[in-house]
Amino acid sequence: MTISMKVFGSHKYSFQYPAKYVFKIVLVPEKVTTARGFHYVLLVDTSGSMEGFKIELAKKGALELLNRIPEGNKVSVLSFGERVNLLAEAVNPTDASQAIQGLTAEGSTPFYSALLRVISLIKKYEMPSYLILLTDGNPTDVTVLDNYKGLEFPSNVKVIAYGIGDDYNEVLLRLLADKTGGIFEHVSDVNEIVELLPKAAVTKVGAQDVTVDIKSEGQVKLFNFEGPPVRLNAVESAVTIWGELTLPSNYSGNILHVTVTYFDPATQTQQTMSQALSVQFASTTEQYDAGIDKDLVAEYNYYVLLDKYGKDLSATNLGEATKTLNQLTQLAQQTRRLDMMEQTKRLQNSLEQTRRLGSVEATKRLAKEVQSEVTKKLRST
Amino acid sequence: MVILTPSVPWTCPVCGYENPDDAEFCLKCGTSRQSVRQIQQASVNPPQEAVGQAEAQVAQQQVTVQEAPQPQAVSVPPVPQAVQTPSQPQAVEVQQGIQAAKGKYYLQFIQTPVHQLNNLKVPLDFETFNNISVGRSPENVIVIPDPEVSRRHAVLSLENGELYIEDLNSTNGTYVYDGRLFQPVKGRQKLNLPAVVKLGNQTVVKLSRE
Repeated sequence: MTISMKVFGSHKYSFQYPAKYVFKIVLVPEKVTTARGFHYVLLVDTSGSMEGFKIELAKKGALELLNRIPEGNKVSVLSFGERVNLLAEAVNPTDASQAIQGLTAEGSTPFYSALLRVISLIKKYEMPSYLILLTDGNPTDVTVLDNYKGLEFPSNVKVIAYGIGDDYNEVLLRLLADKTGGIFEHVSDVNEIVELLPKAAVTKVGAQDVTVDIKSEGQVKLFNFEGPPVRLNAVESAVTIWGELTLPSNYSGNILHVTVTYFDPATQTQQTMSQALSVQFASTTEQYDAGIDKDLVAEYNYYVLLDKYGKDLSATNLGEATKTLNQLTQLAQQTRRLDMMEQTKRLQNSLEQTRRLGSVEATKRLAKEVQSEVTKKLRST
Repeated sequence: MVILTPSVPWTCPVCGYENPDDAEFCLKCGTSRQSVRQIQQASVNPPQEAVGQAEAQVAQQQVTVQEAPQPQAVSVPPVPQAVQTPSQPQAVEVQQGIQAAKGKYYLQFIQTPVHQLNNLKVPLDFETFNNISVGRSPENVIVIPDPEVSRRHAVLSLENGELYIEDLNSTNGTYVYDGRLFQPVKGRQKLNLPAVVKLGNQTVVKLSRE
């Protein structure tokens, strides 16, 4: 066993009424080994807007990233500018540096074509993959968001998207991150990219090719991952999967059954573990009420609201965003969780500042920051 | 209790948490909102019939508005929910009969931010209570969904056949029209019917006896 699993459910008892049952599945790497057998695909925007300072910093960051990727992994480098170019295909990390040094910026942003090319490349090698994506602009080939929703990523890929500056589309990058259980990182100052990009390298993992299957009496709705089943290319740090289902009235028995299958890199074997949660029927309101983990419910609601807040901002709906943030603040106070209170306080301050500036640009900038923070909060530790 | 608020908070019967109107499940304990409806159907709540006809009429109004099937989450403006249904309409009718003989008091909305309420005539039933409280919060007998109306705004009372209005130290004040201007109500004041009363700055109601 190189990873462990804990499953938390909000209700111990069922009652006369249906209820929303919230659950949290936490996977923790217990014993890590050097990450091998991953395919890193580096997709760099080399459109005209990246020219000069930005592309040089991106190259510097990418080279540092290559240095950190352990031997035994493959790296592909693609750029998209005038055309989509495959500069290095599944080579050893050290051999890819030449391809990166040769990057120059010019032309448009054929983002969609680039993604299609990447998807076929990842499918070709069938390895758990990381798609590290760097862009500073809006796509010029396909602009309709629905087309991106329809993209079929292989299940073992995780997107780590970096958006540089103020001109890219955060809704699109968030969408790609959400589709693959990945991360979207907003880079307001281009200088940060040199430090941030190398962090995408995963050096140690607890498990590879992980499938989390969740079965229940009720309809399961996952909040921060696609699925069920949830497919993860690796468990490199603790992963929390949040979801909800409707607990039927007067229900007694197993309500949730979670099965995890994964490849254990230490023993090179396939492993399986499972856990079930059950509920009993409560005879009194007091008994039912006492069996509810309200902190868990509050935490879940907090994330749901946080997600909504990001979406409100992206829709430049400041009025609604203010309302949502007020609810968030209230909820954070109820939970008495210091990290949440801190976060809402920070969000209040930045929203206040944006309102004072009062421009659409300021709102969009805030939206990027918040959306980035939301994906990180939801899917990393 | 008459609830006219466009977004009606509901109290969870299990944990007592006050939930916003758009929550289908209690935010604190996850219990379904159905529980509230089930409990109301099951129990007969005496104070409801006491308030009587005012509620009956308004509840009817709510029922008619509410006929659209359930989805109250996104509705714009949110449909007023009959949180409490009149338990015994027959009893209410009897009370109406008694009062009709003596002349009945009515409150009619002339202007209020929730347009559905405009022109709505709510009977004031002083048979069971001498005081009828008016305000924004659900604890009042008449709930007015106007942000400028205070949570507990004013009280209407009947004493020796005279109607009085008392401002409960409301933030935006209570005013009575004197034919030329709205004069602020300070403390308790007698009303000469029919009277036009302004609560806050956006809600104007007419009080009459018919």
